[in-house]
Amino acid sequence: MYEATMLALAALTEPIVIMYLVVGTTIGLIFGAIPGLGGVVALTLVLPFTFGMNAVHAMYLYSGIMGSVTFAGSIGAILLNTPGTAHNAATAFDGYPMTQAGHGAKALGISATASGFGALFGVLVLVLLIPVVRKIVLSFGPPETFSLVLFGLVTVAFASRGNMIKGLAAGGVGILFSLIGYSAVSASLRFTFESDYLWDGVPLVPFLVGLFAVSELIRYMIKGGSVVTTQKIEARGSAWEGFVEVFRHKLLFVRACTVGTIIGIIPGVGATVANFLAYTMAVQTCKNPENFGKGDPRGIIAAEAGNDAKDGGALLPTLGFGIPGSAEMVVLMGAFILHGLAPGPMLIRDHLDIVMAIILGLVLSNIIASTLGLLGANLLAKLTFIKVSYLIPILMALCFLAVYAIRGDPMDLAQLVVWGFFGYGTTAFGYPKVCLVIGYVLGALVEDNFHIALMIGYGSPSVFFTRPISLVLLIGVFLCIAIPIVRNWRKK
Amino acid sequence: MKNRSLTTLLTIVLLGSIFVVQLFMATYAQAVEFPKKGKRIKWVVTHSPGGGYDTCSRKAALTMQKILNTTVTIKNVPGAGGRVGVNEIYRSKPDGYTIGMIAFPGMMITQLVSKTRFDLYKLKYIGRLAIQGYCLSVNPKSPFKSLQDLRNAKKPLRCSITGGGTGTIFNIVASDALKFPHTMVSGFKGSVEAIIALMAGDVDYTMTGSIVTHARYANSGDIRVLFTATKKRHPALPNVPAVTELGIPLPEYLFNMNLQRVVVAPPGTPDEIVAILRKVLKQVAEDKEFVDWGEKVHAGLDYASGEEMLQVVNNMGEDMPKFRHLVEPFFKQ
Repeated sequence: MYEATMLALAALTEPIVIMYLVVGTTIGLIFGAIPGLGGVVALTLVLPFTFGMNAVHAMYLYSGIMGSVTFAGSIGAILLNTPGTAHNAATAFDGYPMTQAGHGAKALGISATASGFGALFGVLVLVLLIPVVRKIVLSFGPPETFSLVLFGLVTVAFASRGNMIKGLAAGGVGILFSLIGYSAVSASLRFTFESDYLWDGVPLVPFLVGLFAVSELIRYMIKGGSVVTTQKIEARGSAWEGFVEVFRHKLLFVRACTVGTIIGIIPGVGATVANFLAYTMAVQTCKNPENFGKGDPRGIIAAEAGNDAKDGGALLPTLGFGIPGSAEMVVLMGAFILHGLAPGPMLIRDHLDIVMAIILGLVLSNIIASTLGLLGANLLAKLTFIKVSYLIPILMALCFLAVYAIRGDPMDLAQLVVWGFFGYGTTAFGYPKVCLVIGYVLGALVEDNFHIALMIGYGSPSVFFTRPISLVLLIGVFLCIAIPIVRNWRKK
Repeated sequence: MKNRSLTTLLTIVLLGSIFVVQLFMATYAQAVEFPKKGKRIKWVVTHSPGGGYDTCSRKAALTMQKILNTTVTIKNVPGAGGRVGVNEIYRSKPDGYTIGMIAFPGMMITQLVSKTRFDLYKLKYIGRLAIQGYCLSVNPKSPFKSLQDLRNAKKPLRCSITGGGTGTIFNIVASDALKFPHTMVSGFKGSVEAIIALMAGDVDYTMTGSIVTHARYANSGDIRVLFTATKKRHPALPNVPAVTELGIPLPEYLFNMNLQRVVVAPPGTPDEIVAILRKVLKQVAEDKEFVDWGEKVHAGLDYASGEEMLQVVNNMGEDMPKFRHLVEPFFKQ
């Protein structure tokens, strides 16, 4: 282990490797910040160019990207209420109100700090848990994943504080959208209108960009003015204040990181859930929960810590087992194969230097990204004071360009328009878009795992209750629903 | 007088023959002027970057680039299990500047049981680059050590499949041919997930995933491979018997159902260009660097010419009605 780490560190003394790391970090920052793109797209676009590169160099490039994406996504979430990726959606809950009050720089500072340290936490856990990764991964089969995801869906209701019905309705619509496409379980095409375009379901990137980014941009154009709604011209607060703020809530930070890491370890359940569950956990466990959603720094800390810690967690099944822990890991594994490395249990044994390169790269990239974030926060926050009529056309053009660059399919652009207006409507009528996305992301997981679990149990639903982890999670679901009802009933 | 008409005649014949010879030379020159200088060849991959089709295509494209001294670029067109990519190849201009790699026999079954916009019989087959064989694995803690053990099972054995795709087809047809009680558990995201389910004990056996993938997990003791569904033993698993050693009757078409990476050109591509492409692909398959790479990553390189591949396709077409009833429920759209 020591030798491998030394090898990976030695690679960093070559200027070209540092260049790859920095290039990767920059790509990650750009792709993470532009709404809807994110890590998977960046990794996929970079992959072909690395063919023929030295494996360690390539790993520093990839981990550079992965390390900075999650923080970058929060920039849009905080400043413009348009998260760069769905992974940062919960960050907008408290980040955006802070921006509107003029505290944008501070919010960015909090995010950068929580992201950076969160990632470190995740990586630390990763390194410590490598010996037991196998046991963890093998105990989370389809029944357990179903129960966990169901738990995630139920918490959607809590995320829509004050408007539970609308939140649940949005979640339900999201689940409906997730049904579109080919179902491997029943070998049938659903709602595809005989076209191949919807075969794999509603394409995720145009959906997200349209729903979050384009709809917000439309809203700004209609509203006019600038993002910040207070009259003061100076940006109040600074990034450094944000940095310090995170240390005031150490326990919350650790709790959020733990949630994120655990979610990351479970294969298939991704960063959107981590971001969201960490935030919901904070709401449920902190004092004065009514402050959440109004610009409470704790919301940002929880969301961003959870979301970055997930990266370390997601590497665990990927590196230790060859099972992708998240969508980015799927592409990373493809990269392994491209470089002649076999993903699987042998990777840690035979190519520990590659593994250490990834881990080191992730750590360094996070530090670089967070530092850049802290340094640039004040400047970025000034963006929110620019008149919307200058800012929005540029951003709108960026969105369309970025989405087109992925597949070159004009139908994707049509989607942007459709979902843009749809998203504008949902916000205008008070339906939380995040619940919609959660429903969409989790819907497929819930359905597929439910059916697979039943098939494993020879058709009997007892499979969910006879397996201990699944049972515990389902009890949790029950309690989540029952406790508020009992509480209300008791009040009367 | 006679001399002059003779001269005229000879002149005409001479000029005429020069003209005719020029014509032939021009056609000959045109026929071999592929690829033209400065024009790039587009190689469509019907799956996403990073997977088996992609890596094999990329390596082959680079080799082709070297041989032809022309740029060969890869275009990934994933979606619908490969259908979107096949559509793209099918509708491309048949001038030889677009070729692609498709999944066989997956796409054939798709065409058989559902409406497709392509007709695989009309494609021009350039050749096959690789085969990925399948094998049957069980959990190492299970009591199954042989095919007979599987046949003696009291409850139907659960098999993990992804649902749709060449692997699914193979699992279904092979399980039926091997005659033991089984039931399919469909819906796993990929071959790795299907194997993990086996390791976790959620299913009893699986043939999803290539032999190379199974070998990796067998070497770490995570699964037990009972036999390979090939005619000979596989170099990655020298101690595992091939199914032919078990002495049971098996349909010939089963051995053609192993996943094959086939290079094709759009229908209507002129025969001379197809001939050139076929020759080039053969050179790619014999290129030392390509072969060495294939061995290092166990790519399963196994070249077959375009003509041979056309025969394989036609044979499969004839055999498909024999197992259509088995696969149709899993491909029914």
